[in-house]
Amino acid sequence: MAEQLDDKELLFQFKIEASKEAAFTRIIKKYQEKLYWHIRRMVVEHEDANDILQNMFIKVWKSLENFREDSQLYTWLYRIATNESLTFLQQQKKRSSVSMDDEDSTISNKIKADEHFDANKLEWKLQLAIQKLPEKQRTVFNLRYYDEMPYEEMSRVLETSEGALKASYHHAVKKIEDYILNG
Amino acid sequence: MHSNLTIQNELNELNSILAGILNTNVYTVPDGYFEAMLQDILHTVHQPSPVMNSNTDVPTGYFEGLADVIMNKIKDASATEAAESPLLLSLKTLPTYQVPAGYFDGFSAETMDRINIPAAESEGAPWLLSLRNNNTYSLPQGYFDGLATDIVSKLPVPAKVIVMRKRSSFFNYAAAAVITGMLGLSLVSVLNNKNTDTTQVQTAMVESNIDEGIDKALSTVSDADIVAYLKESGEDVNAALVASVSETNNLPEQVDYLTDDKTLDNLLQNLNIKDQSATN
Repeated sequence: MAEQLDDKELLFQFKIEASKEAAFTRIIKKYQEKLYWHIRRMVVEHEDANDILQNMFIKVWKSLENFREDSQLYTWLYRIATNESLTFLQQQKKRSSVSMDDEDSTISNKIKADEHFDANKLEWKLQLAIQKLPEKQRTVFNLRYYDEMPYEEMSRVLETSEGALKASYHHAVKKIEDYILNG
Repeated sequence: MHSNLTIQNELNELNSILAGILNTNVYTVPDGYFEAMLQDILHTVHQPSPVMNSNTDVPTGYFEGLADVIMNKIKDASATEAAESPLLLSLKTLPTYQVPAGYFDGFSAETMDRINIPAAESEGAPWLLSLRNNNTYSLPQGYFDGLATDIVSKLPVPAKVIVMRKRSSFFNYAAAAVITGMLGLSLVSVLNNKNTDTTQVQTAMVESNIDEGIDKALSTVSDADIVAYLKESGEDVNAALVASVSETNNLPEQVDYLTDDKTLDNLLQNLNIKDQSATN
């Protein structure tokens, strides 16, 4: 609740020319890491995550003045970050014109290319398994497992019913488990 | 183990091996990334937008440099192509198919000639073209001069349209309702050779042929005269008016009269009937 009040105050400050930049700086600082990791887990590579994050904040700067506050700022930002990430992945898929299997291996290769990658460690296997999930299921899993987002809030971010999200998360868990055990 | 108890319990319920894995972050970011990113974003949002020409919606000076930009891109593309596949690049310039000598020199003129040839000629009958303007048939002198008049005179005469008098005035209906009742009395009166002090309405009614209809006769009488007649005859003017429009408007149910005192007032208001007894 306190966070919500803070956001309202930040939005109010943003609409005043004199405090606009300071308010926007605070918004970035407040949400940059959460949003970065959300994007990074979707697209894997830091450079891509960085581009998406910066572009999304520039879009936010341009449209925040017209933000109607029908939803929380936090929800709105997550929705933009998710959409931008999914759009990026779609564009990447079109550019590469590769089959689904090749696409999986492309993302897997990106994970394996990480300087800290260790194939024997379970947490890296988990990352490989997550990337095997369909994009939307991956988003649900990440939002729940890593961002610890309540289903109610996730429902607003992804504009999907809570029931569908729970089912999606459970399917994702089972697929990941199957991959780790048998993959 | 998950740090969030709710999610940990959820994984336990699913009996998943994920319940035993730490939800640690395996990815890293360069040192000082978030501080630098903030500055990058602020720098970008503060860059002035390119000055746009309101008429063209392109940045000022856009077209001056456009040709160079395009040429550079073409050169870059050619260079890339050459670098990627020198064999394909060399093959691209070699002509595979042959055309007759001088084919392209006269091509445009020949094409235009063919476009300008009439359809008949292009269909292989050039002799038809020369005959096209020779008229074989003749017609009486001045034929076209009187043609229009002739046609107009032969047009069928439009049927005579009889405009029916608008019967919207409810006074006519009111009078009709009362007069229908009075008609019997009037006829009896006439048959009995009694002298009656007939008003204008009665005169009009008697003079009118019943076959022509009461409406026609009433149309010659003003509303004021009808009301005056009704009052003179000792009729309740408003009741007569209500009765007269009852055919075209649904009267309220009996129960409405019993449960609501204003039903009749509302009905009169809806029928747009003024209190004639008061006004006349």
